[in-house]
Amino acid sequence: MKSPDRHWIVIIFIFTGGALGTLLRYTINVQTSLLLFPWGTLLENLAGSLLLGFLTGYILKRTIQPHFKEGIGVGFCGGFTTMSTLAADTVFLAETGSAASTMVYIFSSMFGGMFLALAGMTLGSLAAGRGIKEKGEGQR
Amino acid sequence: MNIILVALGGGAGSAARYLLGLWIKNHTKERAIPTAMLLVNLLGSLGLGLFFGLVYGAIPLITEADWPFMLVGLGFFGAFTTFSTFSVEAAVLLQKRKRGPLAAYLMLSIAGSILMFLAGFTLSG
Repeated sequence: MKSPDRHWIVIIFIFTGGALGTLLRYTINVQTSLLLFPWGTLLENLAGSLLLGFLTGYILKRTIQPHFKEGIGVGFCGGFTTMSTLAADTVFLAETGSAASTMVYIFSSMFGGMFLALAGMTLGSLAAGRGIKEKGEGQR
Repeated sequence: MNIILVALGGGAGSAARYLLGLWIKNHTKERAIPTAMLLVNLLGSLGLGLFFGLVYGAIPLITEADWPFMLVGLGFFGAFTTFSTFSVEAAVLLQKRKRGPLAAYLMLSIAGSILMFLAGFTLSG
């Protein structure tokens, strides 16, 4: 069982990771705010999906300390990507833009995110596996 | 100033997502589709819709945003909801070739979040 203070350390890492991820999202959104299409949120959601996929693939083969794992995954990736802004962007786009751009936004987010997460999982698993092999060979 | 508000809102939103996710996992049985982050995303999208409708009566642009937008909209609700976990959970369903649950999960997450935002926005606007 997890002791209460260990639990607090995980929460502090998640808070910090989430704050950093959100700051990066804010920085990108400010840079892309004048464009007609929500490129910023799309880029964040796709990049964050790739990163969380990589982490997921990596930790299947290697252990990372829980507070780092949750700090990067739940905190940073979770705070960097967002579903509520995607929903708001879609409604805004449907009102001000074309139906085609709204559809492009939804489908590139949804399928792009899923396939990038899958690619990230494969890459993460490869990166972790290669390290283990090299270590094993070194011991022999 | 904006930087501090965004960081505080984002940190609090992420911690709240983690704690609510744990609570949901402990109080629901396992299903064919992952429910914890789905419910968090639906709730957060409803919350952002309510917030925009109540405070602005519109969907504000980041260029004309004020401090509540930074703290609550971009910070808290932005970070409370998440897209990366959605993508990974969808990828796992795809990998396991669970087509039915995958289709349901994609629809419930994306269309569901948009509809929940719209519901909140319409109700309060």
